[in-house]
Amino acid sequence: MGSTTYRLTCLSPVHIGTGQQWSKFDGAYHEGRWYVVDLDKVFALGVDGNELAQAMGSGAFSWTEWLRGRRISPEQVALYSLPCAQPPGEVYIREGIKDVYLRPYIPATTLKGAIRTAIVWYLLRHDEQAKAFARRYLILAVYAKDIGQIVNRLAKGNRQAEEDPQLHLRAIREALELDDTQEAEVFLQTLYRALGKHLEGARRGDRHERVRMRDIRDLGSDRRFLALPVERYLLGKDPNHDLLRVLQVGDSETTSLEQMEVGLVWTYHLDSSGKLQPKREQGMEYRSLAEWLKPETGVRLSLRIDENLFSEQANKVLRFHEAQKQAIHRLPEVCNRYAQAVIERQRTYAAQHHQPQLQEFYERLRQKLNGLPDGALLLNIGWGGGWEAKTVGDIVQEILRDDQLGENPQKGNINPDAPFPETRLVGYQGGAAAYPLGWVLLEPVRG
Amino acid sequence: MPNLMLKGKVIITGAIEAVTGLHIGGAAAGLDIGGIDNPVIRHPVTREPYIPGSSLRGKMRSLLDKHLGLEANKFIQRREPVVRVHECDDEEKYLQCPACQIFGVTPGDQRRDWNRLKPSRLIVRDVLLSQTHEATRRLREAKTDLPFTEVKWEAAIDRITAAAVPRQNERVPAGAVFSPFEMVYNLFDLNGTGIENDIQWLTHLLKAMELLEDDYLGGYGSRGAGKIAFRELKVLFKSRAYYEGKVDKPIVLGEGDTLRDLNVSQFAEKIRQNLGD
Ligand SMILES: [Zn+2]
Repeated sequence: MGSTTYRLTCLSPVHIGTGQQWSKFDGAYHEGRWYVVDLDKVFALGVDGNELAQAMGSGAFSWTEWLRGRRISPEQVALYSLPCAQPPGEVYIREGIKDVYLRPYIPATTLKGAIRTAIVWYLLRHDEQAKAFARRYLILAVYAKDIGQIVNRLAKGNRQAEEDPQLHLRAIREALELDDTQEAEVFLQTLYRALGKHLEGARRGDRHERVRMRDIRDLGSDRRFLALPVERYLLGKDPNHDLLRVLQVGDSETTSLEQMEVGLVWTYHLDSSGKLQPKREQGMEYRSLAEWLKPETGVRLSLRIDENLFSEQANKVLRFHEAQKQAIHRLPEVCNRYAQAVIERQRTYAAQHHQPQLQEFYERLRQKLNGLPDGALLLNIGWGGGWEAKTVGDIVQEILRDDQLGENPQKGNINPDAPFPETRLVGYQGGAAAYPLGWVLLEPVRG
Repeated sequence: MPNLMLKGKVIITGAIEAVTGLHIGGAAAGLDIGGIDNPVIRHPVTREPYIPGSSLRGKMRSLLDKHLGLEANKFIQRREPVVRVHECDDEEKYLQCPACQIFGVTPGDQRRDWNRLKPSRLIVRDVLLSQTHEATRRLREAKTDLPFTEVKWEAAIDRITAAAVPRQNERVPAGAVFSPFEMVYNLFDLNGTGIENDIQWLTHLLKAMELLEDDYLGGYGSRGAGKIAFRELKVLFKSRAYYEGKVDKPIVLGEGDTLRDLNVSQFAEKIRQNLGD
């Protein structure tokens, strides 16, 4: 299979951030539009820089007022402008990605990230051994601090003892209250693998394979990398051996700024009666604004599978197994199975918690998914799709629940309490709740 | 003592267009770059991004190796990440191997004793950002993060917690044009055995260019960067007779805006007819 061209269509607003947020110092709101101010253009009008700096330092600064006072139209000094759902006031605006010529597009990294999540989910769903690895790893992460303390106690400050795999085995047995030595041994293997070390090597005394007490104690403590050992297990030990190297995703073609607007996103949470409602706390409204691509926006992009990496020769180094190859070759199915699971959970949640707009959106999405043409697929990309659409959290929650460890996998070293997830982001249209963000349809373009 | 004679040069010139953003990695952030995680390589004098000839050449070679099914047998780097390329170990095989003949082999090891070893046919020069192209003017006027480049922020999302790790990546924006690029392919006659193979293998070089257009140059290729197109192409043949002043003009083998516009199949015959000896 060579390169395939797809047409991507936004089914809900899509916001892909740049890491930048516009504040009132960056632009002006005027008659329904947001103008990002280009300082070069302001100074080209002969404005005194010191005077402007002083005005900005005054606290009550507003570009809208400042420009009006000097009879300068926002248009005159704008880098660009977009329709804007409401005056931003003190609310930040999340900038949406555009190329250097201010043309929005969908970056390959965003698409690839979403596809990667679907593949990880699919492989984990269909591989009992991988799921067993993930389960043991998560249990170790929950008990990491305990195991670390036991290692500390048993080693009595002896550095060499601290790094002895036999001692680690004892600590695991004790912390997890395991009677079965064989099971403890499998947990020990999991621990070493999760830390990227070889247990056999450590037993032979290889310095590079040593596991320190601190490594054990910190296992799973950084929530930014909690899933990494599971991903490595499923896809490859490092970026050079990673399955996703096979998939070459292109940046999408660009579209025009006309397709972009500043939309309102409100954080919803469960109120005391169990309804999913806009979050307001102590007079504070949990609103944000984001430059998003409007629903119906379409762009083309291409995906290519580099079959060379599955060749006999490459196989000597990469050794991708059959399930991994299948996941790549049956990509639309893999992505759609994942989308289905996400949609189903979100739909149920919205129904249970009386949020009719979201429920309706997911109903329609489900119908769309069931009637997809051959080779087409649904993905959730960018910001605002929710924790469910970015993670393999459902499988993790199942594991945590089965082992009665709780169900909140969000925290590092996993906090087993607290209901999770507590919030949803809801995109507004015409002042009313309308949809979650980030759902796109990819259809292969024939001929 | 082997007798080597240059019978002519094929010179391919043109432009390289970045169809997607291009990231050819430079040295890790120097002070003058301002702390970018993944900077692009810049010309030491002009500070403008450029495409090193070695990057172009290396990528074309590895694509041709794969295309011809040649085994990557030589370790460039043994520790992880292991890097391997193809190089013939056997003189008889070498004589029949377009990749080794076009791109050359390192003269070390037992190859010193081969008496039919030719120098590499191909020279690929560095390609600078075009000084005359409209694209460069537009890029100069655009609001770029750094001169001629954009710094793209990305977030790696943890697949259990959804926590984000931001990272940044500098690249030359899509649409940038690098020119002129120049590749010189030498036709060598060794010990009077003629240059027929050299002539025929020219098609492999053009194949390697085509393979590169279908692949990517530089980093982050599997994530959208590095798609390029060869443009404004001109392929000239300068025979030995030309260099000796017996012929006053180089022969145009082909010309066109894209690789597909070149009539590659006629190159060999045109060269044979114009060797001038
Ligand atoms: Zn060879």
